[in-house]
Amino acid sequence: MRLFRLTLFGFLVCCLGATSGVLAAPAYPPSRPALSVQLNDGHSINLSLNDLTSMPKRVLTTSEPNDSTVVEWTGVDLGYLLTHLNIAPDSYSYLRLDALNMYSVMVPREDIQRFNPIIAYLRNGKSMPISEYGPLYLIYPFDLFPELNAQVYFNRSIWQLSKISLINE
Amino acid sequence: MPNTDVARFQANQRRMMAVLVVLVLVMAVIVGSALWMVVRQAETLATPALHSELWRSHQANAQIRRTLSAALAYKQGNISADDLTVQIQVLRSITRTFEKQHVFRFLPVRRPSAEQALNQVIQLSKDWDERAAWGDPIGADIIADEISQQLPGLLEPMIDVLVSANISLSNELDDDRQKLHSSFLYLGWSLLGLLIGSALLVARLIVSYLQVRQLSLRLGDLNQNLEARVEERTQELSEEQALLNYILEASPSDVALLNAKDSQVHFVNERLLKRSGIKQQQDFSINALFAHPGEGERFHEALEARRQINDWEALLAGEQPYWGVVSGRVLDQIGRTSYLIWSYDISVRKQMEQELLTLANTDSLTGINNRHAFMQLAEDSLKLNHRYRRQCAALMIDIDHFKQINDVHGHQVGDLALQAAAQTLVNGLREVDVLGRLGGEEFAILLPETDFTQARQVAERLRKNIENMQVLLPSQNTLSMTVSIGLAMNTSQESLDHLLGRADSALYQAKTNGRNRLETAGEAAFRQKL
Repeated sequence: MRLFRLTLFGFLVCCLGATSGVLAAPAYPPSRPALSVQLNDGHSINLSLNDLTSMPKRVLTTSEPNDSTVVEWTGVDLGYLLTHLNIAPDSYSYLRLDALNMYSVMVPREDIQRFNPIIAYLRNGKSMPISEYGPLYLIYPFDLFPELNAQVYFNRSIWQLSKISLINE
Repeated sequence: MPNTDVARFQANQRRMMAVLVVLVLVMAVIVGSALWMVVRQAETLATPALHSELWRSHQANAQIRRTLSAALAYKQGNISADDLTVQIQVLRSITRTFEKQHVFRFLPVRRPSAEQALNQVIQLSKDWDERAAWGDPIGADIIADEISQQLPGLLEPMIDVLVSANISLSNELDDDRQKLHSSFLYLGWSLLGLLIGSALLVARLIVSYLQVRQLSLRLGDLNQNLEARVEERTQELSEEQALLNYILEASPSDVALLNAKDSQVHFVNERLLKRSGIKQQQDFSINALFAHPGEGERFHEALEARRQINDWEALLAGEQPYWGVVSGRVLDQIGRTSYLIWSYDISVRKQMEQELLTLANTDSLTGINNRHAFMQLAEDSLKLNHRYRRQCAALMIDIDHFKQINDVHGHQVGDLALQAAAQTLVNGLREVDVLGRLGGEEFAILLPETDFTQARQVAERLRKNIENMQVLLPSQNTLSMTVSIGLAMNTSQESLDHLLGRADSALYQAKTNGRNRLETAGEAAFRQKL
């Protein structure tokens, strides 16, 4: 049940994996902007999947205690991404993350410093279409920190991530 | 406590134990099931419950509107085909979640219109998602037309989906609540049961503790009482012992108390120790009491056989052996057998007895046997002769003219004459011969194992000895006298009286024939008398 939300979709993806493979079409256009970062000065930076895959990769695994299903996520450290975009940690206290489905979450700066979540673009080595909650998915290292087993962090694991805004309060 | 009480007490204890065991088992079952339930509940609660049905229903609604807007905007040329594809894929991502989850599971009454609308949206979005490709404006055109035709009619039924999802969710939450409530109730009852069981156990423990305490107190009391009693008894015993020792010490008898088995000496009074010349009490023994070795053994055997002995006369050991009377008792005390032996000195009595005997048998004037003693001794001797068929002789002796001696010289001289005559006779006889003064101036002699010739010789010698005797008188004069003697030879089975009678007849004959002579009794007279 722990990562019900994640693995439910993992399961669905597994079921659909075959069809995706047959189509062999890209799940999301690699050069199309996938993520928009809103800076404090009013500018915004658009990042495509190509931009993200060119950055250092980090792999996380999440597993469900009840069965041996292990999901491997590949992506970019959120902290690295912000540093890469010259966004100083003291320039924001929260990140507002918006999804294509209009869902949004507020991630405090401490989460990034403490848990260092990733923006995953591969699940089990495969890119994710929007219909399977891709192309970007914020993943916390649930297996490394038991305290992440809480609704707060499940809520923050936003899928269909499309926009990051800096919030200062 | 009587046996029945003990049995009832043990039965009660067993019953109580059985009840406790059953109670513990029941408690274990209750607690086990409660624990199992708690573990299950904890597992359920280990991860957040994801009741997102309502949110997704809302999202489905909102995304339908957005997709519809996107289709219209695309047709007006405001957005690109890929932008429409994004919206379609987002819609698909939302409807996908409804395929596996039963959103209306907890709806009390089915709402087909809502289910139908949801299914329709799922099918449409699935279809469009499959067909919508990146960078495909022609396909997008067709899909955009379909969207603007199909979705507006679904807007209203989708409100039903939202409402149904809300009702179902609230019911599900309430179901969860009820389950939790019943779980907590069960847990509560279990805890109550546990509390009661624990209280009973604790009560039992306290009761047991109190019982044990009371019992130990009683035991302590009993111990103290026992100790006091033992002390008292010991005191009594030692007082009794002291009293007994005092009594035994004060007793006119000589007392000893010995252990029957190992001859250990419990007590010997001072007097006995002093008398027997034994220094240490432990050196005393039954054998040491008696002067003759072996007599102690006999006494011991007799005491073992008869268990009591009264007035065993014996010569007892001492610096000077003395006559004593010994008595003994076998005493069975608790766990041991003892001999109580007491004795007392009868040497004085023995001496007096001897003196009395002497007095009774002796002629006080002459110191020889009196008539009574002579008759007894002669009888015994005669019987012995009869038994062995030996000859013996009897002599009857009478001092001649003794009346004249008395008359002329007085009775004192008469007495002296008698003493001198008796002494002379004694001197002329053997140990075995029996001499006695029968009365007045008459003496009798029995000569055992003597034939006629020997008897005549003895008689003649005695007569001569008397004749030659000179009695020195107080007046420095001397006195002479003669005796007449009658001799009778004993024949078989003749009585002493008869024998003496015949000797007396012979004496009479001697007197008649002139005195200072010996005459022998004939046998004819004896035969006549027989």
